[in-house]
Amino acid sequence: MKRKVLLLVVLGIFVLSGLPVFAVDTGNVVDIWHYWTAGREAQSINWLMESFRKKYPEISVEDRAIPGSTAELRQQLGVAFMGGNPPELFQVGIGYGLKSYADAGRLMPITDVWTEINGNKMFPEGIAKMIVFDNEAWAVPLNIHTINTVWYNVNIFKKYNLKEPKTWEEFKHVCRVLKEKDVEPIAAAGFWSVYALYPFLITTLGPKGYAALGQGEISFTGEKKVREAFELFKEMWVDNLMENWTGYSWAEAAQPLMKGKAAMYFCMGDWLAALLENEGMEPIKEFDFFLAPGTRNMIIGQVDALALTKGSDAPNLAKTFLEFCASTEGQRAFNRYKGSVAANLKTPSEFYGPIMSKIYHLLHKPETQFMPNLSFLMPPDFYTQFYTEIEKYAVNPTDETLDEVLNELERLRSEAFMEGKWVNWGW
Amino acid sequence: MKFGLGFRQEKSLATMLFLAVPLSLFAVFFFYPIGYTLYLSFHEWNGISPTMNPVGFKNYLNIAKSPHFRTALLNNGKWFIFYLLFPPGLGLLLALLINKGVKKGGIFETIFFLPNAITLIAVACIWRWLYTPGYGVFNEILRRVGLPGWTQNWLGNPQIATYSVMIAVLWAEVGVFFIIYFAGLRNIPQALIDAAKLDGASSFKIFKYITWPMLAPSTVIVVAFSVIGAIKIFDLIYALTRGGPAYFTSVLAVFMYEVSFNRFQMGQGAAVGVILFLLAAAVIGPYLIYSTRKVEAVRQ
Amino acid sequence: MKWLRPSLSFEKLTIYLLLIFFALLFLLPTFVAINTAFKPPREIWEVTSFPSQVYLENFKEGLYKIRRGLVNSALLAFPAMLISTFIGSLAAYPLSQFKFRGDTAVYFLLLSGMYIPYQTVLIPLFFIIRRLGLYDTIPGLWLVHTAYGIPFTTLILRNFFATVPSELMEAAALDGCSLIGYYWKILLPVGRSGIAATLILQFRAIWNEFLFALTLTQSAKSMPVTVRLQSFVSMTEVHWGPLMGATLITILPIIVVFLVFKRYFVTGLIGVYK
Repeated sequence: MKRKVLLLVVLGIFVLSGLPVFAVDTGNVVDIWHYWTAGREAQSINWLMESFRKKYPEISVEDRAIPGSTAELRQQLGVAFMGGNPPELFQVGIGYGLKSYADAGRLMPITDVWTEINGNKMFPEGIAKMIVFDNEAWAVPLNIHTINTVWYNVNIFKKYNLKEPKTWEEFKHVCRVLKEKDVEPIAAAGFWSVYALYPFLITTLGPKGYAALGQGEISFTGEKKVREAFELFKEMWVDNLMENWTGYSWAEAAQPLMKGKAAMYFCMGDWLAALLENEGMEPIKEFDFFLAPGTRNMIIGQVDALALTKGSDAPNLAKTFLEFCASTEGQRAFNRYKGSVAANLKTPSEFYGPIMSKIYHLLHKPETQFMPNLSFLMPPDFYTQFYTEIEKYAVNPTDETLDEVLNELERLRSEAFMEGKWVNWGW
Repeated sequence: MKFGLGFRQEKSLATMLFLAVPLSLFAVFFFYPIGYTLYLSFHEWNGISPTMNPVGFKNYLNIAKSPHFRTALLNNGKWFIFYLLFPPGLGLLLALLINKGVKKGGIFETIFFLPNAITLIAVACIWRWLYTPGYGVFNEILRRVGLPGWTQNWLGNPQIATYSVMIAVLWAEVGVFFIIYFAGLRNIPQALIDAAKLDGASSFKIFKYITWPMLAPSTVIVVAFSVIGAIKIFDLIYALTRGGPAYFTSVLAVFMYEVSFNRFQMGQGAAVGVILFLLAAAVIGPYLIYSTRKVEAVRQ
Repeated sequence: MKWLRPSLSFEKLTIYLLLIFFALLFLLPTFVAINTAFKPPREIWEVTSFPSQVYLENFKEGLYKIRRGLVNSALLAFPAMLISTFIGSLAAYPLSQFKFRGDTAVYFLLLSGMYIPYQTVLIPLFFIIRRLGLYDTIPGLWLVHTAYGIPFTTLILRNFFATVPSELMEAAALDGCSLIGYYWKILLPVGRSGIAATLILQFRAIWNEFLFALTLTQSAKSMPVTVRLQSFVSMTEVHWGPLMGATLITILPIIVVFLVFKRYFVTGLIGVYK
């Protein structure tokens, strides 16, 4: 008995001596919250902060990595906002996500920074549209992850004399040849089906139609072209998927591609390139990409940005950090390890690897348009159910399922419309 | 006696004394959050805005209309049956086997408890490796022993995915059930068993008339865990399949998570939470009342 | 025949075979984890092969990244295990030994706490902890785990205490033992099976708990190991090797606690007839 009490006392002393001093943020620290928890992603944010510290040694900058992604980060932010101690900056997706924070009154506009750096010219138009709204600018974009890339195993294509398809007809031909040779045309993973739908939407609706869909202006059941997109999606993508694709995670599905069991990986983001390189495949020589047919003049992408909170301790210091992030120096520091392309169009390109260089050049072609991922345009409530319905169709691509799916999507669309949830981003 | 009071008064005093701390902690940490959740379920809130909109029963109506909710509810039913039969059944079986007095029983005890000690992300990683269709351990083994036709799309086939997750959950959680039954078995006075053996009772009879009734307290605990488990199950499903493909393996807790945090509908998520709570209470309430009486009987 | 020795009866053999069968089934997944922990990065995807070398980097890296987390978790889990079991036993005592008006109601009430999904209590919980000034502290987590452990510990202990025959209390009263004395000197030792079970399960639950740990701590000084483990995982990259290495390290304390306390799974009445 006595020993137990003694033990408790000793433990107590241990703990008390380890109690942190309470006031963490002294008003001179720029605190950044994000979900870049591991590997190259963690490296990229660290490198960005390091470069900033070298230039501005008198400003303290700290970060907190929250395991998970948008949902988990938002959870923690929600708690922090309630508690009155939010970080200065946090990682946010442009478009709807950003707007939800702004509408809630949780952000401080950074229009002064934006005008200073001439944001409207510095970043692609498609990005600026999703950051400047309600007459203010709200975030600084860091990078662009391209997602309309179709990755392929170069050795297989060479072996069967296949060329990068430029149209859907050519794509169909490629798949047919592969099937004859007993190679699965497309590797895929459960949960990501929605990305594969985008090129088809753009093919039938055109880029303006795609954006209009994202703004809730097109009826799923009324507009024939929507149905056409789904049918093309089935013909070109679903019917060519590898066996048991639903049982793979996106990284697991890369294995068949690497081993040559599957030839292509359709519409996965450029982080796949980082994975393949890590596993020892040589870029361009052993794996390469082409832009999905129908989207050859655009980069469909997602963008990570940093936003400034209202109610944090050091907004002015944070603004300095934001300016640095927007500069070519900052963009270079962040994107060096991230496996994405800098959002700032003026950033030099010599530090990119072969794949990223290719993307960089595509982005900088005068006719290239930047289109955001639909998830940035649509209300999250709708988008979550949207991608679930698409997955449902991909798992069971019958006409009945398509009817069900389109009807459900149309019902959700009108509901969101009644509640005024759709946003016109200016497309 | 301590205060010179009558035995009954002292009992009341002791009762209040002992219950004081637990009940007050409970009041603060449970009533407030439950009340908050109930309040939230009648509002619309995106989790970060300083204001909430009152919307009456709209959240509940939306939930009822949702096909995801219906599938999830059905799946919880499947989990209910699973949880009542398998973890307790296997836990009891393993505890009985070891209790027979095998040499080096300790090693077996540790082996059966070990999976329970592994953190969730690792459990999920391990089972994904076991279940990967093309090159995962299970399918590889099946191919190598000459049964390629038996390979499955364990986590991707909507028909069997839930059962695949159940196997993983069984592995990860039987340790708890095993321990409860094991401690319960050891708690039975050996004298009773020996006396019955001397009377010539068979192992089966001993189990039926002595062991099983005396395990009633353990069974109460185990059944409570089962029901709670079936209703709250979230972590492994979310980690292994995210409720997918689409929402075919989803359960109420996954639905609640998606609604609250992916769809930014905290109010609607709270409504799901309330439904979960009521469901659990409705199922376990009667059982608890019934079993409380049963355990009293054991004391006599 | 030599192997049909009298000590190895048919029944015992069947039991052994069954146990070995189950043991192998149980070990397979764990073995996969151990196997992976010893592999260099390039070999990790070859799930069904053995490592070509004994690669210790995963353990080194894993240990390095979680070292402070291990300390924090230890400072968290050991005291919290003891406190929460103790508080549970406080509630379990009257509920199992006395009959009083509303005892079923109180019992039911305490148990209803188990149905609460923890995701929903995060925000109110955060407020409470902050108001108490315990945010980002280990004692704050003690409090939280004790409070949320009440239904669980009460359930187990109440049912184990209930197996203590009521004659014991009458006998003790005749001996001049007070009610509180009864608790300390008789109930706890007699109920030690249940207490040991509770200690083991509470330790494991607290050590492996993630959500409260994530929400209620922020700095390295108080962050438990479960949150630290996430540093091997992100949306687009998972470092399987170090993750497995670190996981194997975090299992050890739970196993130790298990081994230490399971010897108390004995029939509780032995010491009483003294």
